[in-house]
Amino acid sequence: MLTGLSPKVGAEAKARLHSLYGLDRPIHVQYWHWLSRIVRFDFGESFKDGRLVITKVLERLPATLLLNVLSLLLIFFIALPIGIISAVRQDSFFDKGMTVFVFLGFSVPGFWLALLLMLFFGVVLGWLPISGMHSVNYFYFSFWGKLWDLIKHLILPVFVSAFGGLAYLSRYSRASMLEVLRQDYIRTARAKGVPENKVIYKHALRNALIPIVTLLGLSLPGLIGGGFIFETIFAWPGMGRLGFQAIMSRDYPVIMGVGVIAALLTLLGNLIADITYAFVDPRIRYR
Amino acid sequence: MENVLEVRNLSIEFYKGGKIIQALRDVSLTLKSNEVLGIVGESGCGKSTLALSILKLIPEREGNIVSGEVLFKGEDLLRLSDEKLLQIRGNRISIIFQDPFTSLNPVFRIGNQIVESVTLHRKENLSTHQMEKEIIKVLELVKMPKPKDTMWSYPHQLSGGMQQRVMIAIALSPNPEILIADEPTTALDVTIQKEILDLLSELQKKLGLSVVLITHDFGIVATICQRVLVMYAGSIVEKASTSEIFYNPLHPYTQGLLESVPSRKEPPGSPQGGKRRLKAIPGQVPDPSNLPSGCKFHPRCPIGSEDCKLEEPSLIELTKNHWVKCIRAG
Amino acid sequence: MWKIIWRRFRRNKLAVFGALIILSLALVAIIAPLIAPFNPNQQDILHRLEPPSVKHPLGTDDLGRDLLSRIIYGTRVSLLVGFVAVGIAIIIGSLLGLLSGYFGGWLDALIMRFVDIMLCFPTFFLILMVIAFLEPNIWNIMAVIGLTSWPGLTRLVRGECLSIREREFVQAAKALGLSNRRVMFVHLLPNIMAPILVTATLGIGGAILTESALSFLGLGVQPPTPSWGNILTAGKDYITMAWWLSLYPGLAILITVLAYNLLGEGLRDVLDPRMMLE
Repeated sequence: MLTGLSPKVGAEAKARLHSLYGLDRPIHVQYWHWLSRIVRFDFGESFKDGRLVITKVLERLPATLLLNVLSLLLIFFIALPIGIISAVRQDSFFDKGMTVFVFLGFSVPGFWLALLLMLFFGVVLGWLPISGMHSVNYFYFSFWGKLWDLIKHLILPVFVSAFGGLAYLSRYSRASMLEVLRQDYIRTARAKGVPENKVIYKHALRNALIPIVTLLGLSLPGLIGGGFIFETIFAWPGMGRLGFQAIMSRDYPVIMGVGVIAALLTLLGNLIADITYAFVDPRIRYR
Repeated sequence: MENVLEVRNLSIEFYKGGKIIQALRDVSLTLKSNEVLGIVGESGCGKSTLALSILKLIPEREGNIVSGEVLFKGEDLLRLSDEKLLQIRGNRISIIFQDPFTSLNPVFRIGNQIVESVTLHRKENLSTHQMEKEIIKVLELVKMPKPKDTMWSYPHQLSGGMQQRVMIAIALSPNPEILIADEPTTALDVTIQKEILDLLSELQKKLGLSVVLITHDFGIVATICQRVLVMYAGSIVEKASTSEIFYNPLHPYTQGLLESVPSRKEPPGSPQGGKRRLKAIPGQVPDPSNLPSGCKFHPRCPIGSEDCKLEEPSLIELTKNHWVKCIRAG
Repeated sequence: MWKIIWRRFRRNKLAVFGALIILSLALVAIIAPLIAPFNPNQQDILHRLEPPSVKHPLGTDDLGRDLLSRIIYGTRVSLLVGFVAVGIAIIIGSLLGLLSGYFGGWLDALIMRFVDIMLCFPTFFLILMVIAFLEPNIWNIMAVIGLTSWPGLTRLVRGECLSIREREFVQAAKALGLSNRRVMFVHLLPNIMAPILVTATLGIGGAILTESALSFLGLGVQPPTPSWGNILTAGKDYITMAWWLSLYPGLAILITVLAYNLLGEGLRDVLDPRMMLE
């Protein structure tokens, strides 16, 4: 497999490669070596350009994180109010309208949306750039110019990346809020004479937020996964694009590297979700 | 003794799965000052609905006030503006519910939940220190062991009995005139039930409260209520003083209920009880969306006649202060 | 009982709408050769990248192939992938979930650990990685999507099992001495069918989205076989010149997945838990 290189490589070169990569050792020894290196984040060198995989990944990580964190924030600050208001005004025009929006959100292929938006905003209207993180003349901009340029490049990818999550979280928020509003303690709050808006925004919301906030942490893997497509479409210089290019060129060390980092980030997301949950729900915090 | 609360011809409808359920049908009652009024009935008879309706706590999505009035100090609570209603709820009229665990907000500390009642209804701003004192004062009122610790706890850290004491504390802290207690002890252990009932009784006398006590347990009624209303299928079928109800029940339903209670003094199989079997009322509570014609109890009534099917009887005062809704009673 | 379900199903307008669309699509897929105006692979370089016209209602692609015909044939790919992939996931997921939920103990722990590990990876990336090692074709895609979707279902089935396991009728069946296999398949399974069915329906929508994403990236169904995803690849390349290549295939995906989602959500309302009440 690895030696599916140019057939011009002679037998001697093959043998050297073999011994270099330790392929002549027994398989369990190979595995152990691999594992111990992985733990130290030593993924070896890229097949493409020979640079250290870990370096390549770390170079791209900030861009991916920027994209994903902004997406998460967007999702949170838009989906949450939509969900809450839908629940409070259940069956209203708003609620029904949002339900339609949510269903569309679930059904739209993200990359198609990306294409359409690129077409519309980038080509037809020409307002927004459709690739990369910086314009060509980036370095000539002032600080504010640079910032504005960055923002312009971020708008489409962040929006498209967040779209699916928006639909999901607003549905989830709605369900969570509805569940809370049915509870006895909401009835108690009303019986105490608490005005309705306080009932909702103090008594109910605090409880509804608990599962929602943990869901945010769990959304991270989804965003990272989606990142592969979106970063490629928008030529965003992130880890996802690196991973995709590596897959296309069969650059296995890089694929491994990106995969492990992605898995780590997923675990991190889960961990954050668990910690947040324990923090936010007193029933967990105090036995 | 004047009437502190008066309900007149209250009728409430619910909608569920496309059907209309008549939860309350033309219910009227009066609550006198400083008295404990018991409302008894089986599940589904409308007693909880009645309790919630007094404070207009039934959400509009679920139920509709068809007609009637709830008069408190001359004002109809059902037609008050929202603002004014908020001043009555939890302030002049308080209500406590059946399950204290689900009735307390799990994410706020006890002290926080108690003090909310205080700050909502008093005009003055209290300092933190004053608020703490108020909380402890009211927790001591309900005989909470270790009030200081309780204040900082979360609801799930307390036992059922303690939780219900907190509910009572919340209800009584603004010093209301009326307390509605919807099955306050049903969800508690038997030993705790007595403690809470004693507490309620003591507080009622101490604070001069007028109490509406809803229950399905006649034992509780016998212990602390002065007057009793018996409800069936959304309306009141008998109204009398406690002693009258027990020694002279006139409505066949009331009689059936009393006979189906196992008696400690006459357990079946004992020499006194002999071979007394537990008597149950035959049949089942009617489907509220599909009530029988005429008297709603007639399908299960041991003394029912053909006339009972024709028209629903009205509540008639058969003997002094003893009202019955039955054409065959007495 | 089925009559009640049918009646309730009919009343749920969204579910019916979704079902109708799906049935129409299935029909289109089956009779594709009859209704497609052109052979989907028939190239006509002279007429490449033509906008929608009477002759080619949706336009032509970069090799002059009729877009409408390609989209019609693309239905076959989508539906096939959807069903097979989800079928695989359901079989594996339900089986493991049943075993895990019913037997508990070390088997449960083992299966759940495995599930946890698989859920560590962002699903899509996992699929990408696996496809990278394999050759991209429709069968591999179906297998891979199926093999990466079962963990979620296993968790669901296990959860349902755990909640039902302690109910009387299961205890009764065991007390009667029925074999474990019988209890699992005859007694437990029918009761958890409802959420499985709902998840499966929604899963088909998801599988179609995944397949089209993979095909779009060039790692799925390979041209010349038309898949809505790989038509969109051309759409991307010629985005400035041929907007119809970008619009219509995506629209097809949208409508199909929407139909499955509506049906799935509708089923969710129609089955479970009211079924339990009756």
